[in-house]
Amino acid sequence: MRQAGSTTGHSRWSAAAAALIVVALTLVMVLAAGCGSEADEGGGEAASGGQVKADQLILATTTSVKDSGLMDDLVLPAFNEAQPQIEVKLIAVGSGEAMAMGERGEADVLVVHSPAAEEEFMAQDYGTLRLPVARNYFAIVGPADDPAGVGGTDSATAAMKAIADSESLFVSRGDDSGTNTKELGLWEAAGVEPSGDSYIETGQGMGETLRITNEKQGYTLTDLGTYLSMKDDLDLVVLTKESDDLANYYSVIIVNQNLHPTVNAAGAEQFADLLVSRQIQDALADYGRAEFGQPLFAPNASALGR
Amino acid sequence: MELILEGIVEAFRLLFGGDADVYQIMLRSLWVSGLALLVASLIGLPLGVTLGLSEFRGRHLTVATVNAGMGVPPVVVGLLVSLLLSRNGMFGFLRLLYTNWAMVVAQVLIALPLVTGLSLAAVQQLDPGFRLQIVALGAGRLQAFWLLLKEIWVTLLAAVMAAFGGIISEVGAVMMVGGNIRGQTQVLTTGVVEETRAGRFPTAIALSIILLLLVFAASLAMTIVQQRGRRHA
Amino acid sequence: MPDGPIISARDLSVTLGGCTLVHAEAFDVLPGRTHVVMGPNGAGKSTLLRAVGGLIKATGTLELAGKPVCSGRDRAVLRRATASVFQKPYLLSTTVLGNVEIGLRLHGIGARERGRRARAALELLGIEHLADRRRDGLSGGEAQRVSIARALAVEPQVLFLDEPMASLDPPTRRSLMTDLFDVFSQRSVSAVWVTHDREEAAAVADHVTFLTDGRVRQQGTASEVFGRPQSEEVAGFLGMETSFEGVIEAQDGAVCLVLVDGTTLVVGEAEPGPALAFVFPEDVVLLRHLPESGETSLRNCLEGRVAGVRSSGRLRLVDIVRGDLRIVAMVTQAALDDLQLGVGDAVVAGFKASAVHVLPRHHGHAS
Repeated sequence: MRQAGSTTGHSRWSAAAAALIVVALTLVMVLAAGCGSEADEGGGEAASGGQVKADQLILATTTSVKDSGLMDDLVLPAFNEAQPQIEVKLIAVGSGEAMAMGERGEADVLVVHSPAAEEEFMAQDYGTLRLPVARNYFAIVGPADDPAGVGGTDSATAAMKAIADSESLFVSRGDDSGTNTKELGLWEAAGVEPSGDSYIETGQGMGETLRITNEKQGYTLTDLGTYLSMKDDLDLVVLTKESDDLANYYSVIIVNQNLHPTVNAAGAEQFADLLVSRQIQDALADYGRAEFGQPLFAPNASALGR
Repeated sequence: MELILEGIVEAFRLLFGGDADVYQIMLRSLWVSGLALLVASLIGLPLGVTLGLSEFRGRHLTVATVNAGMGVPPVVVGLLVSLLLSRNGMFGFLRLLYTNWAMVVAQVLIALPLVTGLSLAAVQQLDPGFRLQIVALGAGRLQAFWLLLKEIWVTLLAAVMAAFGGIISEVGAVMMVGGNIRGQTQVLTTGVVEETRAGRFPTAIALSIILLLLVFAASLAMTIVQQRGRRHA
Repeated sequence: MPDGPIISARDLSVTLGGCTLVHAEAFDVLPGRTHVVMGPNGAGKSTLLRAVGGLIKATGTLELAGKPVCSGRDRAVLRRATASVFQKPYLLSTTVLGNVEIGLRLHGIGARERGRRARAALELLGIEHLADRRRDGLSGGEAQRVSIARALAVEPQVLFLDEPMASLDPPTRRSLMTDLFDVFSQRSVSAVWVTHDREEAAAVADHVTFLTDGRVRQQGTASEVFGRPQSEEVAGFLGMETSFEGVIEAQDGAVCLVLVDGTTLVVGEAEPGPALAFVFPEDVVLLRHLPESGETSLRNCLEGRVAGVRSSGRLRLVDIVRGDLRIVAMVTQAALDDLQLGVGDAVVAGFKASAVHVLPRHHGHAS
């Protein structure tokens, strides 16, 4: 019942000490993080460290481009070397949102892969220049035993029709991404209105959608990069060939400075120049080979002779 | 299952192998949320305690506003901040969008109502007679304030920790205002989202484990302090 | 010690939103005396106490040792000159000694002197052995003793006690009352003591202010108020459940109260005219039969029937009905058993002339 005074006094001090330790640890971590991030990144943390780089370039791109690592691993380091005074902010958003940012002048340069929407964008004068950068192919993946017989078709349209005819499960991203738009275009070309129990929409990214497809052993349309990075954990195989209707074209667009004076058109031009340069185009042809045994992109700028 | 195990193994390799990127992301998360918490606490704690103790015209409205603020979804805060800080927004000239400062601003706005509301509740839990007793003992305004603070400091600490848990695990707002830029504004939560989306599960799991450990550490510290505090309260 | 009142209030009112919570024409705290503020719950007792103690704003005049208390600064001075004990002990989360030192610390008294006075206060309340304990290890009685020691440690000119015993169980209450009695007389403490308990009030009061609905109904020395309640409310609150309405007349050299039904009661001194009279239940004795004349000193003996029996602690309250009259007697269970009384039995209720408290009925007074 009775608690000795000395004991309670002691515990009180421990409580205070515990609180102090928590506070101190937090402070140390905060300070370490503050210094650490500045030390680690040199100028990278500049914006938060107070010394702003002379120029800022906002690059809006689709999630699949960012997720492939192409920009972060290959393009941005090269650009930083060439134009160290420009700080690039790579923002990954839905493909429609990327172009909407360009429309509002919230981004300076776009890397996108929705040819029809891009043409519309250019027609409205939201962009001043659009150059092809790279190309690759979407793939339809599915279970190895391929109940719908997709492997026997010679076009994606035929493959989609085969999936619909066999009432096999198709998992759609359903998130208005470039991949999703492509998928819906293929259904239309195949003359199929996807619906019913054999068509599900995840509303999530490619990684999650591939996982779901794997669990349910269905079919889905995917970009190659995401599929290859997850390949070892998936019981899904690529069933299509590089047919024309699976081609995926990436372009760079410079946003129209005349509509939005704050747009960094000079920086955007330098960035676009770099993307279509020999240096990047050559590196592009090899990107992914080391990790996946095959490149994720094919250079496409040579079409313009640059 | 295999994936999770592999992920966990990879996670520990990244964690203890001193992977610079993972470590940097963790430090950035702590820096952003720690600073936001500090600012929110410096404003929110005195504000909440003062609101709880004082009587003035419009107090009810203020309290209602604070409580409503506690219910504002963080994404809405994120949207608001990103609109205000965007190039064509009201504060676009500051060039803060897609920087750590933007994330700090958003997290301060998310944490502030939490800290204020919870510390207000802590004061209101206290029997009003307590304050009367302290004043009756001859305490001046500041002395009474200090003595009351000493009575509720454990609860106030809980408010701060709750806010920390809230902002360090928040993803929507920091994604919008920070942009999840690798090497610049990627934090634990946005990192998990990106790595998952891109199918790089091991890194996603590693970041998740760090996030979990941080939140657990915070709540564990809180529990210890609270239990000791309660034993002697 | 000055002879005049330490605290003196005139025409003191506390209003909230245009509604008067409490009003007192005059309220004095005399040195070495205990002024009890009593009345039912919600009468405004605590509000009056807080106004007198400078804890809340009030209109009217308030003086501390002859100096007017007007501004907030004056009220702060008043608060520092006094100390309060509430129904709950409100101990701070520190040791018992630390709690008792708080007031001294706020008064800016140095550590050595603080410790000495705090320990002295603990000793006064007989709880020096609790000095290093923390509040959650204390019983309710111990905690309240700490709260009182804390208030006494600052050697207040006036000690305010707001229902200090209300949260304690009866044995704890009795022992604390006994000890407080000693402390009060030993230190000649001047106190204002708020209570709704008439036993408690009777035990400690030198002066009494009786409140209902925020108004002072009666004020005076303890013997005046308890001996001669001046209104039905006061009488009723004091436990005079038996009331008679009639006219005071002189008959055969005695003063009598003639009731509406013709019954005549012998009373003590009273002015002729319409009157109300009250009798305490403990002043009524029960008899099986009417006594022979000269057999008893009971001047009033009324025959009636037992209508019911209620418990009041270890005692029993017996309701006796006689026509429209209702008489309440307080007896022990043993006495009840001796008389072998049950509900419906005939019984005689007897009381002395001096037990009848007469209130003159003023014109216009609602019945």
